[in-house]
Amino acid sequence: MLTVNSHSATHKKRHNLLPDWINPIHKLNRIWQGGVKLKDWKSLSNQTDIEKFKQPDAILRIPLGDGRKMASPCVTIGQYVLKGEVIGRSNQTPWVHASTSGHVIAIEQTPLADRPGKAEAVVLAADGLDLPCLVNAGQSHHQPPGNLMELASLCQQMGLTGLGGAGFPVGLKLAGAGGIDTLLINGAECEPYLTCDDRLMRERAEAIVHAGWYLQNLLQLERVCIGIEPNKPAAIQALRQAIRFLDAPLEVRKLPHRYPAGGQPLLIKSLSGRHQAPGTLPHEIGVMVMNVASLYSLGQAVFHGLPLTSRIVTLSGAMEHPCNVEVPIGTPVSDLLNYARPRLETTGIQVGGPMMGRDLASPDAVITKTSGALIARSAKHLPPKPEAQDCIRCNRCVDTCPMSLRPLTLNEACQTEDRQALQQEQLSACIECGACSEVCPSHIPLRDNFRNAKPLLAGGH
Amino acid sequence: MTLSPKTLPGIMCAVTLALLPGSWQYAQHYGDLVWLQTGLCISFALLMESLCLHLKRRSFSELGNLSWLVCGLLLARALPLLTPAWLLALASMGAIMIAKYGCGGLGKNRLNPVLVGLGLVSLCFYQLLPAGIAAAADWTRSLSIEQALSLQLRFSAAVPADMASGATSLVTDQLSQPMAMNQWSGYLFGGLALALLNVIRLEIPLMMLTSTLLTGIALGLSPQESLHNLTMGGMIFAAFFIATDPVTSPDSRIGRLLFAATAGALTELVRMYGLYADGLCFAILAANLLVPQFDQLARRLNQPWYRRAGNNHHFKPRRQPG
Repeated sequence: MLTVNSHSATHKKRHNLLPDWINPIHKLNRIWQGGVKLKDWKSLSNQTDIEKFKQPDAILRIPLGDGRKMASPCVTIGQYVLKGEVIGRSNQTPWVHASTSGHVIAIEQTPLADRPGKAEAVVLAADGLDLPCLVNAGQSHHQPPGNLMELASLCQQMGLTGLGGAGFPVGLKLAGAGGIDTLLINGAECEPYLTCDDRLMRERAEAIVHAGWYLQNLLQLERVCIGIEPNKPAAIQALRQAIRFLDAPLEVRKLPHRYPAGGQPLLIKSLSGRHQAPGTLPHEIGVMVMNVASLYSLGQAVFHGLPLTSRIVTLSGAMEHPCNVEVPIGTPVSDLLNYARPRLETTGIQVGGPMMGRDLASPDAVITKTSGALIARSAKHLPPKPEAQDCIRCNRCVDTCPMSLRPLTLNEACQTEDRQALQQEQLSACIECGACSEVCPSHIPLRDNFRNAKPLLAGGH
Repeated sequence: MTLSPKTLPGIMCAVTLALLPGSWQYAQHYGDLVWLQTGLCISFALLMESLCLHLKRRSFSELGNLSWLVCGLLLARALPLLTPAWLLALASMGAIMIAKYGCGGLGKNRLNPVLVGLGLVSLCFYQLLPAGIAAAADWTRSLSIEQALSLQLRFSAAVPADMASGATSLVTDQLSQPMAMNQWSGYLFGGLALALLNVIRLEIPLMMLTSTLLTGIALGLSPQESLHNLTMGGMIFAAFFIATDPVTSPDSRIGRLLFAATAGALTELVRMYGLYADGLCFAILAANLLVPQFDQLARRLNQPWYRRAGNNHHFKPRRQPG
């Protein structure tokens, strides 16, 4: 059963007697220093239920991986597949399943929405019937796996990857999580605009709690904790209700209301008080972090035998019909844009969150397991950044960096490509949250510079 | 804080506005020639900045960051009144051409440009600088703008000898006389406003004033004398507006505290034992030079949070279940 960790610094009740701007020590009271308060724009898209995206005559291009490690296709051109049938297999990476029923018409390269470059994809002409495949890979899953290794291989066969953005395979994560004592569920969704996890937690809270409880029993965890930013009161209430209703030994905690509250080291620090050093994995300090959407899909796989064939995508920004839709993997971005209708003033499309995401490279790109949002840019939503000016060393980036780096000196090292200085300034600790670029009064693209410099660090000896 | 300026010109405008109350008080005391000197300094700064941009083949749109405005305004406040115009131009050149663009442009200089300009002029041409202005406030108030301009266009400072009675100090007499409350409270107000707006770091002026105070006491002054010292010369002005220049101060709180303590202590030492009446300029320049060392030290003293253990000891690795 759950044991409350009384030593954790995070359990203290924090009172603020004075408003922050006249209280000189309010910052000392924080669980983690730095971060930035952003206008969240959540109410654009979180007012309505998750919609099912249905397009009877769609041509889906289902990518067989994220472009780095790929599964190999196990279907032939012309073959008829059912929804959920395996179309790509691999020993290491998650398997790939058909997102709907239809005929395979080609196997070709396709651009991905949220990653640069192309990946091999199975092109599927949907027949509109959406017939499900009941038995996957010769196994029936009415009985949930009873041990960790079975679960890890099930997750791999069900194609589960982290849906938070990094896309780390859930099976691999579980395989390394043998000795842990704490599961932290990331419902922070700290980026502006994104509401897919918010809606998921509101509408499918019981399934999430059920999956978390199952993992707690399977891994014999001391503690399962769901962390949510306080700007989602409805989600918090829904989960608390579900926990009470199911009488599950889970807890829901509010995270600090600052971006990037959902960054992995910060989430671990806020919820467990443990410190994840850069370059180490969470299970080394006994913690596993899982996104709510990934946990939900794990529950679907374990209890219902449903592979990961769709994800919830937030359509927001300058759109006529901003909403959350449950989209089959492999749907072209252009189809979704036709559905949400970007307004005339739209200047471009951002894939993923405004902070961590990137520009849509090609309108032919397809939704992958990690593309969480499409945001239409305009003068009001995500306006273009002004041209960079000189750094005046105002130190705002230093105050903002949640990982206690010095972005201004790090940026100098990036510009001179001085590998030793990059190491000394600990570029590897950067979580690429983009908070420094956000507060920079000179609009220097600090985060982009760091992202570009990381390969330099990896190439060194 | 939401009112905090979010762009580079915004920050520079905030500093300019914060300097206005102090400047206004100054003008109340000394008359309109304060604004004349301000206008001259700002024009020279703009000229120098444009010239440097032209020489470096950079776009004139960079003038839009308004750093020249703050530089000119600070120079006007730091140099004594009725300084000959060519010395103002020389100080602007020292500040912008040598200190700033000589080091590679905005944000790359290690020495505070304003103090380099001031130091250059007061070291090389101290005989030409006006002396005894503080005692001659009644006379300066009576000057019209035209008269003041004609005085400033001379080769050397033209303060009537009978006005400049008493001991003349080597640098700026303005900086050696104790000032009435109404001369520094404006700077204090502006500085505190900037600190609230998160443009400057309050720890620098606070530490600098504390350090000056304590050094004074350690050197044998009574606490009252030492406190009185803080209102002398441009102490408040320099502590809030010059020492807090982010470009030339350290990048961490511990570093900034060390920096301010050094600057404050050196100021008092120069005031007590130095050749010059006021040590602010040299004290802050010396502390500027030590900034990389302060940063190094701060880095060693203050490890990032993830290098400390936190609650990690609560995790006891166990045998894998199943």
